[in-house]
Amino acid sequence: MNAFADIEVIGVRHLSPAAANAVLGTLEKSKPKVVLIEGPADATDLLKYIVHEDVKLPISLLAYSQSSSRTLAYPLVDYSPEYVAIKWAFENDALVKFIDLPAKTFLALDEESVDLPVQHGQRHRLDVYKELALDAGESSYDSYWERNFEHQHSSETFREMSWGLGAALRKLEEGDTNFHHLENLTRESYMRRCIQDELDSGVSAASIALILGAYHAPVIDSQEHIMTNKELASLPIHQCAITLMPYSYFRLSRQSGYGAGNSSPLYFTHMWNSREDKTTGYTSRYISEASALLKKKSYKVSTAQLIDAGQLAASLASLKNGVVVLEDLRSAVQTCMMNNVPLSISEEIWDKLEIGSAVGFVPEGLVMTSIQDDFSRLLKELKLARYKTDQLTELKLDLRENRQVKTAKAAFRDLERSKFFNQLKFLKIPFADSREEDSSASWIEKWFVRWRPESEIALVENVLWGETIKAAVTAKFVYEIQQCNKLVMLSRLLRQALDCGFESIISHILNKLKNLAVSDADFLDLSHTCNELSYLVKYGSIRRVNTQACEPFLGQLFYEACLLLMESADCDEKRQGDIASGMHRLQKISNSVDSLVDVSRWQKSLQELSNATNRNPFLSGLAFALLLNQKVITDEDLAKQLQFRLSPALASDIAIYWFEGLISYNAADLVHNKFLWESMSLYVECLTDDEFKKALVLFRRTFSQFENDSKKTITDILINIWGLSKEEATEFMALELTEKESELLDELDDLDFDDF
Amino acid sequence: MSDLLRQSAEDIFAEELDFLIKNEKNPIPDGWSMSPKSVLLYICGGKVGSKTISSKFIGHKRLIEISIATLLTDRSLLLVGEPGTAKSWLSEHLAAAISGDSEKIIQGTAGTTEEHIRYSWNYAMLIANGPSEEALVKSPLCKAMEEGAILRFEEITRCAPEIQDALISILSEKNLAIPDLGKQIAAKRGFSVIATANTRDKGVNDMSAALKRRFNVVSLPAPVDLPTELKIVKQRLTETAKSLSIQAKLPSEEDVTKVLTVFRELRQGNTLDGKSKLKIPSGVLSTAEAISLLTGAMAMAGSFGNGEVTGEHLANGLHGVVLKDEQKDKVVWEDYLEHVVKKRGADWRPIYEASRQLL
Repeated sequence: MNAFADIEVIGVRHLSPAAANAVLGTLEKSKPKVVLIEGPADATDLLKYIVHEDVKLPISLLAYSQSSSRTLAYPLVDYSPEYVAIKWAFENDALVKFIDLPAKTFLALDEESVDLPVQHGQRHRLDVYKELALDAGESSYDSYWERNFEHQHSSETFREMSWGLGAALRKLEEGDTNFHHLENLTRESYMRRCIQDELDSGVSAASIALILGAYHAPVIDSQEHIMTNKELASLPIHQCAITLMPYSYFRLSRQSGYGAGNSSPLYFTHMWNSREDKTTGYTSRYISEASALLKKKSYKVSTAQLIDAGQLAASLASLKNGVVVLEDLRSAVQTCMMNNVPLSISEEIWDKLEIGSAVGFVPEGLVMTSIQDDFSRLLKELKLARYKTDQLTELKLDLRENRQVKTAKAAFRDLERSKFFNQLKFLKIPFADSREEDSSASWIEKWFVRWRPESEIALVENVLWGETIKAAVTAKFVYEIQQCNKLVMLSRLLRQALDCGFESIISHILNKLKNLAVSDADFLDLSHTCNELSYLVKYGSIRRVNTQACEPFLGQLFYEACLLLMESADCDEKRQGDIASGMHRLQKISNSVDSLVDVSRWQKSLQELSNATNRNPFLSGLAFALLLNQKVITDEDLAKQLQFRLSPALASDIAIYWFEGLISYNAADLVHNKFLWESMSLYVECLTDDEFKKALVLFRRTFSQFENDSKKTITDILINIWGLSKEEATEFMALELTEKESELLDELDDLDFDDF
Repeated sequence: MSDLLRQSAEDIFAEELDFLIKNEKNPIPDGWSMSPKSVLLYICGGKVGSKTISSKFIGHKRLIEISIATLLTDRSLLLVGEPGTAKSWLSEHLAAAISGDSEKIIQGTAGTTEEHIRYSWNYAMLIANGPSEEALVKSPLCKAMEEGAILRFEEITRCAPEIQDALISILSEKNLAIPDLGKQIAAKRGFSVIATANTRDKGVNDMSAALKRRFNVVSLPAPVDLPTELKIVKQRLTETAKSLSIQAKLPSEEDVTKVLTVFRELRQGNTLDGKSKLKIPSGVLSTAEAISLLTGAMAMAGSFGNGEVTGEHLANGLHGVVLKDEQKDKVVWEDYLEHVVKKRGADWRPIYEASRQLL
């Protein structure tokens, strides 16, 4: 005899308006005293908070522990049957409990740790649903469900159908021994135990209502296996915390797993909200909304097109059973209204139309994770509480000591704020953003502050890293450092560590740096790293972080980079840009922190490169320019080098690349050097016709890099060299191109280096 | 076997169509010969009881559903796409299934006039006896409206825009006025228009917005991936070879895959593994061309060879298809041969050698 026979069992699908409606209808009719719901048993205490008057849906239960990679999210929205049941219970003084396996067991039930007999050819759980859908001629389970279940009005019919569905699914999975199936069986035996406990405490079966997944409904029978005490005691446990957090429709649309998501929450929300309204159908609403969104994007849509879309949707549905579902609406709108709309815009419109941007709210202090607590505390301390709004505000921070306040704490408040903002950025919690400014001063920072509902969600999620902001940042740093196997990534972390004010992390990173630097010998990486190290050295003091430990590293890595210069300069045109930037970086460091680096070794490397003939000519030219700039080249040397580099014996493209490299750094000085242009002019005169053509193309590119006034200066100098008068020259320049000349110029455009 | 070069769809598949009509269980819309579900089955293929219906269109089923649903409403269907993406093919089969007649066609060209679309006169009779029913020469559009059948308007955008616009009123009012006789031809239920238009080509005009509005536009894409294209090509090859009685064996799957690989890579502008970029030739390199290339190769093998398609035959075909514009395409093709085909190993060798010889 089935002791559970009189229980009102309602099989549902999470996040289904029809299911929610059926639940409401059934509860209203049978008025139970106890409502049992499929949800983690250890979250029962949080039920009262779910219905708190200040809580705004969508929200989610979150079970987490810092030592497990598995988390459990259980979202609730307006049309969740579970939520509807909870609300009804509280409004009607009924007892409500969660009766599924506790979250601490779920988190411990790791697929790998469980001993299971494995069979080949195991169907993954989700495929059963897909199979069912395909058999019915639908393209997805969502469409199948909507077409057959969603637009069903009577609660009784819904319950019967969902029971049938559950039974059919069970039949398909009979005999499976994969993890999911066995997990299901365990959960069911646990739930039966909880029901039995209720009956044992004196409640009659008829006064109990049970809301659970349709899959489980057919086996709520006291004659099936009920979990024994021994089995209960042997359930694995992983200590965890459970909290209530705000959630968003966006996240809901992307979720999968327990309490699985729903890819079009806004569409279903509208369906739920207008269930009483018989006048506007959900199809008309969808199509009109789509039209409104298109109009906002300036796409003209005529009323006739809306009518046509409606007809097409109905027509498409008639190929199945006549019930219009989301897929039909979307196809109809796409075909009739969105002909000339590009893909990116239409994606945006689907998102706005079907997913929506709703974000929930859980009032402060209600149920808080430790990290939220910590966050509020810090906001108060740093006097940033008033910036926690959805309004974008600009905040200027002065990192220097404020001498006009009384306490030491207040004196460096802005610096602490800057550190705090950087920590939040590192944790990817959207709150404050700075823009890279050509620093008017190194101690001024401009931040843009804005707290959005999504920020709360990001904040809560970081509790997985640590209990407090500081702990989370530290843990994340440690993790990232471990993952780092490239010098460049490490150097980026260095800067972030400085900006966050974590001195201990810096030494951690430097340790790893020691080990990497030797094997990771790449010129570019070294130049990046030196750059970050010099940043630390320069700005350590303003941020009140001791960065002395970086100094020996800077010197050492700088030296290594110098040694690698020649080797890396043996590259082709594609890479020369990167190497050149690396050289610029090292030069900058050599200029600014000359006490910490071996400047003479750098100059030696540059000399080598600038004298070399078998390296990338652009880089050789650049090296020479850098040396010129440091004023270690005499005029005589300059003359020699020019003659050497611009001699007709060398191929013309090599010469011009060298020239390009030369003027790529600090060209303004060179422009005035008369001797340079004399050598250039002599060189050009010695070229043959073919070589001149080649050279012309390269010159075009090179000279285009000069500023307009530089160009003028050069022209003046050249005029002088060639002995023309200013008037003759201006006249000549003003002449229009002859046809032949235009032709030749056009030919230049088509010139392809592969022809040579 | 018939002595026609190409039979219409309703003749080739008469057996399947008859079977579907006889075993129809769902309601049939007015003027249609079978229910929409059966039309879907006919085109996408499937099983009805013990009989297997062959698949005519291999691609997104959704597009076919939308096309059929469009024709159920009073809207007309416009199939657009690049040349060679099965627009006319689909149009033919839809008409064959829905009306049992795919031969009410207006073929659009730059010289199409309004008379081709609406009606014209037997001028001798007109002059002799004045306007009368007998003197009227009805266009396929008139016939389709009178019989409640599907009109196929091929290459509608090749007609001059002013001529295309003759359809605007007709499609809204669903009747054709003949002022000279003082009467109107009202469309019977089951009448609809399926138009096709190319997107990329010379000689393609724009369509006015007013006319476009009368159509539901369904865009047919090129086959999404190699396996789909392979399926399409293999099926068509078997059918064409049979109907043209080519005395050759079907090319091996590897050979077909090679040809399709070449087509896809040149179409996309990069190798299938995404590693190298390629220049794009001026032609479209559609699936239809791949099919004719392979059919041609088979014909060559059958008539001049020993019945087996070799690399040489394929190379001949490729050469003809890829090099549409002598100058530019030659560079593209050579580049492709040297940098991609040559490096692909032994089984591409024959194609490489033969292609090189032709250049």
